[in-house]
Amino acid sequence: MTVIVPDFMSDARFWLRRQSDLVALRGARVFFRIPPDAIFPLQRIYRTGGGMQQGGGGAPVQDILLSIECWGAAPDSPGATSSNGYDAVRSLVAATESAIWQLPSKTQINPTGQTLVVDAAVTNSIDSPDPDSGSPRYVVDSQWTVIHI
Amino acid sequence: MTTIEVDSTQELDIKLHDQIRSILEQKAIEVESTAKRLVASGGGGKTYLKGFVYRKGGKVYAVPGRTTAHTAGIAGGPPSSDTGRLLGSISHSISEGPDGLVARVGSNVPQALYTELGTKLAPAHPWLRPALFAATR
Repeated sequence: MTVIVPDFMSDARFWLRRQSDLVALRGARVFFRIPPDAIFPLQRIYRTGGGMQQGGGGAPVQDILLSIECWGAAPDSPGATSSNGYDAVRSLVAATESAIWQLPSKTQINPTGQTLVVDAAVTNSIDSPDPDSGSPRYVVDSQWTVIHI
Repeated sequence: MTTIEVDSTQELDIKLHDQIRSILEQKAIEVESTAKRLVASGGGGKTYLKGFVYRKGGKVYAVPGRTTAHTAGIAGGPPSSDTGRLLGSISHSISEGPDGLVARVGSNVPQALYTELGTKLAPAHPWLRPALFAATR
């Protein structure tokens, strides 16, 4: 039997793009990779670890570590303004953490309603400006338990 | 199960402290071992031939003297060891802080942070956070 594990990254991006508090700060700009002509602030997500729970029943249950990066414009970049730098990143971090903590259990987070969040928690937030560009960046680490029905 | 025989509360404190330190160190070693395994197992990405180039800030640089090919890690997966510098630098320590015992696992080389968190142009290749996550499961 082949088990196809649903793509949680896409589900998470879908959910993040629909959080009104976050949309107010960065629009729908949630990416897997930062586009070359990106407008800041934005978020980049990637999976850090985790996997299927062993010994589960019929519905796949996954424990997932998801990193949500919050990016602002580098202070000396052409697109830098007073509203898309470090302060914008800090606001984005706070709103992201809040959205995760307030996520009710059994929330359907994907368009087809087949991914249910059992639990979500922020495990860490790291202030780590980009060493290449000097752009302000915070990394919000989160741990998710999801069930695919 | 762990059994501790003591004759006084002071002795109990010392033995408990030693026991906790031992458990903490075991966990730190577990995280360190997993992190090293991850770094050693990375690969599967793009292969750079002899004299390969690397990108910094969008610029491309040649690396003179490079005599072997290098296969990078997959984006989001662990980094691929090249010279072994990161792999060899991963270590742990146990110290007594103001809030009690503290275990630290990590590396002191610059590329450790670059690989763990990525940059604007380069994807992250986390090796420490997955190891920590695995130890807490």
